[in-house]
Amino acid sequence: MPKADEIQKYLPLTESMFYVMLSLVEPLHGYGVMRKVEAISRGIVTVGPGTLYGMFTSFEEEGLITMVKEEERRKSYLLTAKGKRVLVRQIERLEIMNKCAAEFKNRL
Amino acid sequence: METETRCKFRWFWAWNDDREEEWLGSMSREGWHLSDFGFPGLYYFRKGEPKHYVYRLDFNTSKLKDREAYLQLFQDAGWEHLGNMSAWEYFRKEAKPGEAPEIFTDPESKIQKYQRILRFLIIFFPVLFILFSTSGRQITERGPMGGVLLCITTGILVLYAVGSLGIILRIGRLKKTVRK
Repeated sequence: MPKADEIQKYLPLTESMFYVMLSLVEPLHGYGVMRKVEAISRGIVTVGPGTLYGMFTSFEEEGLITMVKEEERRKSYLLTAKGKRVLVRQIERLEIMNKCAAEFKNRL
Repeated sequence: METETRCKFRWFWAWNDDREEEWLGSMSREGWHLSDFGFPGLYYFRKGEPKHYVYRLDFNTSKLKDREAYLQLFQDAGWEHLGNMSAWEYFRKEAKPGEAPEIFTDPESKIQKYQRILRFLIIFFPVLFILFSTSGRQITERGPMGGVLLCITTGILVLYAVGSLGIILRIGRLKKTVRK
């Protein structure tokens, strides 16, 4: 199945990539993404502008996000269908991890 | 009132850019703030109140039309853009003592920065090679002048090799930290 492999190569996402992609379920520009990542990760993850710019560039090249607006030198991006598929697969992996975490927690 | 300025020469290798950042920060803590830079290795400072500035360098090879959005993103995140020396972009941010804000927040993106430098060097290698081979021919045809030219190109080639090797080693060290 070539389609599945196409998604597989992005997995697992790093923690920063995961939160950046999640935040793009709605159109946001760079600084909006930075604030949202910090908020939804409960302050655990912060993304610097250098890191974020690199992600925007490579995610766009890979077709995971697309630019939807450019206003006053600020570009807004949104997840593509492919980007969503990657996230769904990542979430499935995380759910398995979560189940394992519950199962094994008491044995540690 | 005329503000006091000062010019300093310091050489930093590309893979030791964190030492350059640290040095610029220590200058600011003494009240000397980077105001301009000229030829590689030349830094101009302006005297002011001592401040806790954190300096960070990026190697930006994005297209010129994308550079505006790039700089806007840094500005929105609270980073002051000081200028660029070729592809090197200089940023600073005021921080509380002990705080170290970062422009790269994960090891992957830090590795990518050094990979950009390496790619940049690789692109220019053919140019250097042509220069080197033509100056080699000059030596037999033009006598002493060819010798001078050969010395210069050999120097550049050695610098180039040292630079590439240093960056490759730096990438290797960073990759080790990812695996940990």
